[in-house]
Amino acid sequence: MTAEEIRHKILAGLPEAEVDVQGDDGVHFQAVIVSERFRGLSRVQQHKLIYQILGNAFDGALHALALTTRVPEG
Amino acid sequence: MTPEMKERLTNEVKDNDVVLYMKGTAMIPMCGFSARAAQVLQAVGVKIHDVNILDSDELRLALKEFSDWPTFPQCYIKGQFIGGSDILMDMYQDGELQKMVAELPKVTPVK
Repeated sequence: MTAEEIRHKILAGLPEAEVDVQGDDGVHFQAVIVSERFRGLSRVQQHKLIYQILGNAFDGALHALALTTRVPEG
Repeated sequence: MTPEMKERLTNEVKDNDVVLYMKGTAMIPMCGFSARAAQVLQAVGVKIHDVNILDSDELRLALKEFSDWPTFPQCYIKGQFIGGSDILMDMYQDGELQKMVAELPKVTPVK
């Protein structure tokens, strides 16, 4: 699993989002995601939205993804 | 998930103010994310009921279903699912975690 693959998966689910994914050991990643879809959602709901988009990626190599989710400013 | 496991988890998050299902223990974390979650909870000075999910595959799989959350650590405060270490860090940095545990008994000096 690469950072780029994760970024593509997230963008497929949230086309209008700003997505930045870091991580080069293939297992641990940090993603910062800014999306209008998060407005009004709790942090847990925001993260669950991303986990649903990533689907079963977690069953494989990806088992550590630190998420920072934000609503666009303004 | 067996009914016994569901009952155990339901009671555990109800009977303990702060529960951290983690890899390893608060004293000897076995994963960076679990370690960070334990450190944040120690920084706000609350007693952690830590549960090592590496001890039991049944527990680990049950928790993914119970919390509807694919990764560890998983934190519950006052019976409410909070999330993993990234959410705990986020809440710590903007003071929301401190507010949430304000009335809970403190065990370690607050940093």
